[in-house]
Amino acid sequence: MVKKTTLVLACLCTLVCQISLAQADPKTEVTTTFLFKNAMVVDQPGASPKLQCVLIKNGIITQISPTVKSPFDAKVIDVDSMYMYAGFIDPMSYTGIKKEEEKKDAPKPPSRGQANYEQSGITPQINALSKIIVKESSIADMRKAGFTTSHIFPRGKMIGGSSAILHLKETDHEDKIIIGQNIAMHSSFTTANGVAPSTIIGVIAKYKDLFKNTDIAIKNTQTYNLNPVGLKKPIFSEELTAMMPVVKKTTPLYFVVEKNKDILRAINLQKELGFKMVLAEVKMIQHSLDYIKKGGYSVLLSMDLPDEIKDEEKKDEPKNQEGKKEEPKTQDEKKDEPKKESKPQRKLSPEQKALEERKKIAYDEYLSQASLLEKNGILFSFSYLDAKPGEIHKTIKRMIKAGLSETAALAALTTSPAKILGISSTSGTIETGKIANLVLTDKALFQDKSEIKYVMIDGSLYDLQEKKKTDAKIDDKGAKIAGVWSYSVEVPGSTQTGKLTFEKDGSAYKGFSEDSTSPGETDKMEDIAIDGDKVTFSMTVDIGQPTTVTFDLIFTGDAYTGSVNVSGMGTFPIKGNKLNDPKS
Amino acid sequence: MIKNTLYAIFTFVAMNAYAQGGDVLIQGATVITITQGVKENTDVLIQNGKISKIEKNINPPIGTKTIDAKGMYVMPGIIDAHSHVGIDAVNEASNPVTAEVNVGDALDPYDIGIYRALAGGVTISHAMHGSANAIGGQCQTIKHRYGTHIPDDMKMAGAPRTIKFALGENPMRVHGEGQGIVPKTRMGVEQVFRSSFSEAKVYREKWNTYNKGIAKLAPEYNHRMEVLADILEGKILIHCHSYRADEILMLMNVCKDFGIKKICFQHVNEGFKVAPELAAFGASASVFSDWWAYKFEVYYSTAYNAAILTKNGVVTSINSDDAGMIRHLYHEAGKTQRYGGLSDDEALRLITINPAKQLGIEDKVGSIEVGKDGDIAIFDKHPLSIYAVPQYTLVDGKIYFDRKNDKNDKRLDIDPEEKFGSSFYERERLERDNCMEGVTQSLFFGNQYYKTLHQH
Repeated sequence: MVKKTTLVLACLCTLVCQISLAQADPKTEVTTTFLFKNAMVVDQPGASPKLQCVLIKNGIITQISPTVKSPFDAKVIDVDSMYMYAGFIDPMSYTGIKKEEEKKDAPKPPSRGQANYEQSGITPQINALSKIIVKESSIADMRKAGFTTSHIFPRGKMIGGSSAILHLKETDHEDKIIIGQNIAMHSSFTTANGVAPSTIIGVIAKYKDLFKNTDIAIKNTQTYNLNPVGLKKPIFSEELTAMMPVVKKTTPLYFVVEKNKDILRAINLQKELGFKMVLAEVKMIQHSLDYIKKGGYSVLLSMDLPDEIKDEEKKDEPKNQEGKKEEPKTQDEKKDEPKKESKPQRKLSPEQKALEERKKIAYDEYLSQASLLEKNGILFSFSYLDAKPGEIHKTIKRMIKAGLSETAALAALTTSPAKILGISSTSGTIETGKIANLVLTDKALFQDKSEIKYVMIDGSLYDLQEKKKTDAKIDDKGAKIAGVWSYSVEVPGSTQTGKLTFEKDGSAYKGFSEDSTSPGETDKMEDIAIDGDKVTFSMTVDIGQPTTVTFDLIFTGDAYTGSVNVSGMGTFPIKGNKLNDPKS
Repeated sequence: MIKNTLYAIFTFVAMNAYAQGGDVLIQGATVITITQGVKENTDVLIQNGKISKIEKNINPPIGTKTIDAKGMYVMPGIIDAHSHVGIDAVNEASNPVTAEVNVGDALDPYDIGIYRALAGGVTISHAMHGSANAIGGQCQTIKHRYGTHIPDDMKMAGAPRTIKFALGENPMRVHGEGQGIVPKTRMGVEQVFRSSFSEAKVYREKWNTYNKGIAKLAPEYNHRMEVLADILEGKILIHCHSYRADEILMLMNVCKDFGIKKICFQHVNEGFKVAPELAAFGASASVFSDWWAYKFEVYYSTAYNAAILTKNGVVTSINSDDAGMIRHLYHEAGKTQRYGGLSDDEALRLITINPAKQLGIEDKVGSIEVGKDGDIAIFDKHPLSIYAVPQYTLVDGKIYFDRKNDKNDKRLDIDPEEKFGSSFYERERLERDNCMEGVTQSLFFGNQYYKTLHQH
């Protein structure tokens, strides 16, 4: 008897252990059958939500109907009152691709004009697959924003390399999440660092050379392969070989072009060289609309909208209440310092007023670009190269406020990117037979305060409600950064030094930086995030125009190293040590 | 949304507007035709962008806008043969030879400098590559059609291709001193021309062999060599930054050796020393009125340069190479009357028909003649008077500058996040519209403001 009881207990024990393990780690799945009960299913953009049960077997949607009998092995998820959408598809991002520091010991060309393809920023032979890091936090971040599928590119300059499509699942090896590769090639007008091509005109000339030589390489290879007798073998080039599918129009270029001038330059190149093209990271299309329509290009809109004007005013308000005395001031002081009045009353000069009016018009224009694409029937989605995943839905809601329809917004997240990527038969809608890529929200997706509760990717379920609780604990585990730290940034030709100060602010941190050359003048840190020993934050510094400076630091005890990215100007190494402990 | 519809309409109208010329009748002015004398109390009718009649008392066709120019002076739109306005890149300074680049690939219709030039009566600019390289990039002749968002709308149809060359200290400093390669000396600069042209000859020969079917495998394509070979075949006009007389003679010798016939020397401060030689070669000269001593090779200069060159039969123009000076080229031309005693006609030719000749567009612009483009500058006083103020500037018969309707903020592209006062700073920092612009920015460090001491 005793023996038997022990055995049963032991069995039970193992079972319990297994169950708890399965819950903690989604990699070990208990079952591959799921039944979502009573979800408000929006099966495609524009459809009205219908109360449905959705059955998933082996990663595929197998049944959608008001009542479904639960199979014996199904995990039943009662999602009463939740909304269900097809998983979001990201048609262009660096998800899972780590930022690489520029190699200092990389070989330099004999002179600035003699750069090889790689030194010129032309690396079509690089595939995103070789650059994926499955533990990169961006994969989880995009998943939390409801994305199930990402079309990713290696980070590069003029021609960055070819893409891969992946499911944003947790995994130990990228092979398990890749569903396609070499779909497209990244392309931009980015100049090389200090070598040719160093200007936009240099880059454009380089494109012409590259395409013509790839074309020649295709023809010469054919001629040689037909009958090599008596012919000198054409020199092999990795780069030209990788460009061949682009020149043959089987692989499109995803051309990063923000505004009108660059869009039209890319279109001119496309017309001259005849490649397939998708316009990416686009911010302003209204002046090139007719050219985009005529060329039949798809557009991926940038997530980088101008800062909200309203917010700026709100931020100013508390500053205005700091003091009440008004002292006569010189004009310069007035400009730099917040006004000391109890009620915010900005006295604007006529010039300032005129500028504010024009800025407001420009602001409205930038926000309305998505709706403009919709009205003109241009196939569009979004691209997320520099997007913060946590901000994506806020940004899309701003576009909706500016006139984009909710149907078109959902299409831009689901069916449109599926169409652009050519994966419509398996992804983009909730239909039987399609991949079980789903997003569940507590309220309708674009409603205020709507939150994503579950994401299912390729049949793997992610419960985001639990995740939230663990997020709050990061503070204890993370690097202890409170205190004053020194910094030194290596800028070509000089070393910039100063101090970074972090203070605890409830469960989070706040902080500021101070340059040694101008003590007392501080810049506030924004978005301080700690992930283990990794600390990131950014600052907006005004050097004639607001410039974003992003810090990426790794702390080890009383020292840290990392990099500083100055938007539009490059990335520079930074290091520092602890100077003081936090004030107590 | 109605706003979006308006955008669509605006884009449509704008696109068509730039494609077509305007209709206008200028009435009762003193018309300085440049090529056919001065005509008092005369009307100029422009139809569909072209000058169609120059007569007294023309009846305005129905629906044609009229400009009452009684007491005013009408002259052809001023042409600047050397400017860096309206382009997003000036110097691809990475190599002593960059014939492959073309500033026309990166025009900037948003450059406020275009509007400011219009306010000085300038209707056409030769937007040039900079002088960092011995053989710089290809240039673009642009019409100042300010208001368009489409860069290609600014290109002047039918203007021949041109390319920038540079002699002397600029290429020596950037490449010789800067990266320790040829050219370190003036001899080196000559060698860059000779070896480049020789290489281009061999290159074209290789392709001819392949095209004839003699070689089975195609040779490598080289955009740079393609352009250089086109120069040798006379398809591209050379505009060469130059100062010293010995180097000017040197380049003419190089041209002779390679069979190149068309060349315009830019700046050419020592041109007065070799004026007969320039005339004999058929070379033209585009000069400053009185600007020199900004670096060692530019000390031996004179304000009589333009007059001496003109009297020796050299086709001469006065240029700006500067965002400020482009607004008062009519004053610059006037200086040749004080220094050299040129006639009104001779002085005004320096900024109209002569630069047109240097750019190969004299059949279309540069004078007021029936059949030519309706590019017009209207002044309240004689344009060579120091009191003259531009009133209207027309391109293709359309008014682009009207002193009475001159809005404060004429910018086309507004950054919604712009801080007040930043545009002046930005302009000071980035938009100097001169020859060495962009050299330090692109080569040394992206954001460091480096004021180039030697600008031209």
